[in-house]
Amino acid sequence: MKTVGNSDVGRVRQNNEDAFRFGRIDDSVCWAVVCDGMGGASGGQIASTIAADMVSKKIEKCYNKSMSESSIENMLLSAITTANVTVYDRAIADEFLNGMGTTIVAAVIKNNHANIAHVGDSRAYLLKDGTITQLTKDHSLVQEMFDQGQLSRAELKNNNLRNIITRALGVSEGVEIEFNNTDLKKGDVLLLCSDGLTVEVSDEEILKLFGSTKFEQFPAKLIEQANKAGGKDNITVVAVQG
Amino acid sequence: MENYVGKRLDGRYEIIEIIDVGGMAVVYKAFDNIDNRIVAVKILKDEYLTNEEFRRRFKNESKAIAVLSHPNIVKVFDVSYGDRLQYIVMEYVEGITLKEYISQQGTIEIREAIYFVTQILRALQHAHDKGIVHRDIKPQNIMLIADGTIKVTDFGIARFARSDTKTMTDSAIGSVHYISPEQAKGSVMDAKTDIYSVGVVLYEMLTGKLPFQSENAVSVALMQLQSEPEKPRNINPDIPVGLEQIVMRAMQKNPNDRYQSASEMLMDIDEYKKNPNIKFDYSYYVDRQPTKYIPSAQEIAREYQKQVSRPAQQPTQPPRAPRQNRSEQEQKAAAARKRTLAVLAALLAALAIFAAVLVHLYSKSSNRVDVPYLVGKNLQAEVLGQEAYEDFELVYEYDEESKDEAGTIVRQEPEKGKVEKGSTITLYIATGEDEKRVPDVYGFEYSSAQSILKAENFEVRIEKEANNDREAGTVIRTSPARDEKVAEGATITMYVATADDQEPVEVPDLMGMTIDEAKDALEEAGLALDSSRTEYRASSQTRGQIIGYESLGESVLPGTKIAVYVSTGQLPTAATTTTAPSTTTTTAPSTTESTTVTTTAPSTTADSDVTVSTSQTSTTAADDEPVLDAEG
Repeated sequence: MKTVGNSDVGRVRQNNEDAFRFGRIDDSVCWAVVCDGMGGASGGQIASTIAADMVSKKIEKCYNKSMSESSIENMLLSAITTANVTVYDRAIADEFLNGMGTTIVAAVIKNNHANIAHVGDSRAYLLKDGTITQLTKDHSLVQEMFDQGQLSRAELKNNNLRNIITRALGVSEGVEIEFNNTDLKKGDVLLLCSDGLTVEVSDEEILKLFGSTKFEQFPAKLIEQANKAGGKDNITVVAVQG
Repeated sequence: MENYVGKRLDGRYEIIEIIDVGGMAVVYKAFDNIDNRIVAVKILKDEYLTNEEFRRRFKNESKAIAVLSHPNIVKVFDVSYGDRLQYIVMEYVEGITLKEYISQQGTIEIREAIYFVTQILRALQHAHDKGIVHRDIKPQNIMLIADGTIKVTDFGIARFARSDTKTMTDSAIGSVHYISPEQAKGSVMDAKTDIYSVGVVLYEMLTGKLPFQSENAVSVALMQLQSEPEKPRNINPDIPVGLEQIVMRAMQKNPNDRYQSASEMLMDIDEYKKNPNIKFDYSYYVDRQPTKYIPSAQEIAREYQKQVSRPAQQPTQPPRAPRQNRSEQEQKAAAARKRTLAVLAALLAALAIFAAVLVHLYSKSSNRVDVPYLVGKNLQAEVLGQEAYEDFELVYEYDEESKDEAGTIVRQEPEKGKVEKGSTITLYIATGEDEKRVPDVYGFEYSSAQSILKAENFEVRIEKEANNDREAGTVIRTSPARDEKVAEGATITMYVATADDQEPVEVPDLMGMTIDEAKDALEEAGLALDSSRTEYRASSQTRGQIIGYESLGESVLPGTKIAVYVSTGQLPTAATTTTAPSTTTTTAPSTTESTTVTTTAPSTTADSDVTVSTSQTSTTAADDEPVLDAEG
């Protein structure tokens, strides 16, 4: 199993408010986290850093090899809820940090199987056998409108409401986390990313780049592509190969 | 991004405390130590500081916003686009938001709601006239002052970046309740978008409820797109029908079915105020009548009523009596000669029928009428509702090119001839020259002022004027004056304070100097040498020496050009003249001729902490982007 990750401020923003972490626990277990911060006067950099740090530390501390899939999910649940409360407390304590928050997408991969938890519109994709599948559903206003048939796929893309998300860490005491899971066979790639990538690069283009790039270069290549297409937001990509 | 409390911006704005932290900016309360007043300073997050496109758009938008000057709009005083800092200085409004007021009060009394919405619409019309759509009208953006004055805030500035900034629905929810369907879809937004939002605000004030309410923010957005709101009168039966109709019209899903402008909505509200029992004639099938410059809603309603209720036209029958009499007479006369005249009678009867047919044909043609000549008449005053034109179906088209007074009929089709009653006559009505208000640029640095005026499609002329009280390079006043109504494309003269110190200076003693020395001495004194008027005179003094000069011993305004009289070195003889042969430079004793003194080029600073220095030269031709980075 290999993991590689990269983040870039993009071509428009001043600061990078994304945060990411990844690590390996042993030969068959690794983990990754991507967070996209928002709000507050300091723009969520603090929120995303707190969340990424807390969740990674929690995973590293609590993981043990006898964990079943449901234990892993519980661990993620616990880690993310703690992160939520921490960010929230900080946000209300300092008026300057009022309103800050962050998305999160976190994965633990064990024995070729990945458990993914997410809140917000950062995503997890599975690249396998020449196909790309989005594993997580965005917690966003436009996604819900699309689900209810009120928006077409084309209207999704440049919608001026696309920035409105329905869930985030740090904006209230409680948070609802969504779980997904997938097999990750040898050669398959699990991709975690912030929306800075997906607003600029289509799923097809991601797949195409995957086919023509060495794995180690993949995140960097994707970032390059996103910047070429405009780089309007911070871009973060972490790739895990089975 | 740092917390600026306790700091001072550009040496002028002393930051006191945080008022609000938003997604794009932090708003502080500050003290303006030059104008000596409390202001609100909105400091933009440095999110986009290095992005050229953003900075350009921000600059343009904020210039446009700064032009908004209306009692119901929070005024923007100053905008700074420095390298390190971008901020907006606005009127500090002491009051609560309409949102807070509504939650305190529950429902708003009808009269008060009308009072508020009237002010909001006026603010919007002012902005729309200047091409600015608010796009985020909601009670959170509407300030209410203790005396009942409404001030709409948060126009446009930094809005365009909003779609790139992540926000939680809870923060966005405030907007979601008021967004128009086209906003929800991401379609084009224009003035009618604001109208929709105003409709929702009015709905909320009158009923105490939002038209689309749900715990789930997302459902609200969906409802904006698909659901019909509950009729206000179902919630509060005290709401008069006309008022409900106004709300519903503003909230039509299809923008074309709404009021097309704030003024249009205001007109209906005025009608309602005059007669609270009014019922408008609104039905939302296709209404092809252009709505601009419409005769008052009342007129239209009346017109519509008339056309609908007019009974079907009958061809007018000629009186029947003569025919009858004649046939009767015929019958009486023929009574005696029954048999022989039976045939005659039959013949005559046939004739009678023939006559009847003729008469019928005649009456059909009397169904035709002359086309009235309406060109030159005023639609409202002389045509609408006039009985003389009742026989026609009038259709209105608008002629924007015509120079005639608004409402004048400039053309019609058909122009003359006979037509069937009930035919259509298309009237082309002049919309009149567009009038605009002169933006208030008093006190603005002249090149910004020029850009602002040009953005309004005015022609600009600059006149320099001495003025001790104004900072050099700023606009003292304009002619026509600010806020005056003028025709579009008119020329506006800006009177700009000149840079020079207006204290008169003594002309220095130039006697005996050379032209060069004199030039230096004059420049030092803030004057100039007028070398085009140098005179050479006969004198026993050394050649090239100055023997006299203009305004000797006097004090003149700085910048004045002084002519000097130079000795030829020879006393007058018969052969020589007092003036040097021609004014060519080669023969003159002086060495180089120089052009008139120019003032220094504008200096620019990129550092936002230094107060700006202003340009002293006269107008630069097509300069829409002032070179200066920081504008104090």
